[in-house]
Amino acid sequence: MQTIALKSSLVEAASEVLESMCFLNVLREEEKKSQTEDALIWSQLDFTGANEGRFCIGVCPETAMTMAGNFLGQSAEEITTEQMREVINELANMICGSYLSRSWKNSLFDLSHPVCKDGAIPALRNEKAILTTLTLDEGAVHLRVVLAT
Amino acid sequence: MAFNVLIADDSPAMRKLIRRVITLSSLDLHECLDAGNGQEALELLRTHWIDIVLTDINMPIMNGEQLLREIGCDSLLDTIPVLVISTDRSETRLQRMMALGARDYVTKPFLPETLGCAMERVLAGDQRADNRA
Repeated sequence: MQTIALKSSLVEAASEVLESMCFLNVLREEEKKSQTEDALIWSQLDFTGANEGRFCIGVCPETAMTMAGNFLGQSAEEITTEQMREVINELANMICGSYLSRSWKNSLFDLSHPVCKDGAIPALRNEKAILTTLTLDEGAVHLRVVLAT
Repeated sequence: MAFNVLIADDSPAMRKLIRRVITLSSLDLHECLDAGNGQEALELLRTHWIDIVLTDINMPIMNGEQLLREIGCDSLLDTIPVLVISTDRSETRLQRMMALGARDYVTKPFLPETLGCAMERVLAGDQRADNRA
């Protein structure tokens, strides 16, 4: 599958999840050569099946709190750090699952349990990756899919 | 009639969201129980009266497919309707889960009314509609 189609599927999947589960609208999408911000909350999971690789979503803590509040129906001030991490993990799971189903229709995939961490998203190591950053009113959402093939 | 629901999902955030969707719907909820995986769900099914199970597929220890198999093999549980809620929108997965006995299949992300309607249909014993977004 062409990189442009894979990226388009990623943006569609993420936009749908953010709009329907967090009530956040994507204003624009921009291509970035690297995602080097170092104060992020990021969640990563591995997938196996018709293709193999890993998915990562990264946002700044304030954006993560807004996402978690909207997802859980609470104000951002009421959200605990643990709840914020759980929501970011679930968003990673949903966006990745939706992306894979769009990109490899009717193929089965297994997704690992997402792991949430603080800091910069690990640098790529000469890997084939699809990178995109979605801009919302509430902040930027960095997305990355590393594919084995 | 008020009903009891069991939510099986390894994500606490998703369990909370589903619980909120049910609470805000027109469904008459009596009790809502949570399980973090299929094994915990089975234990609750064997000790509580449950009217409907909402389960994710991808869970540790015992996944949604294994849970459906266990329910299908148990004559005390096999009449309890199971609704699958998953990110996987492939026809292959859907057919596999329906063949294992799922009564309906809702894909994440979902609109609250989509889940509410699917639950109403399942509780009424109706056939599934296309709930994929």
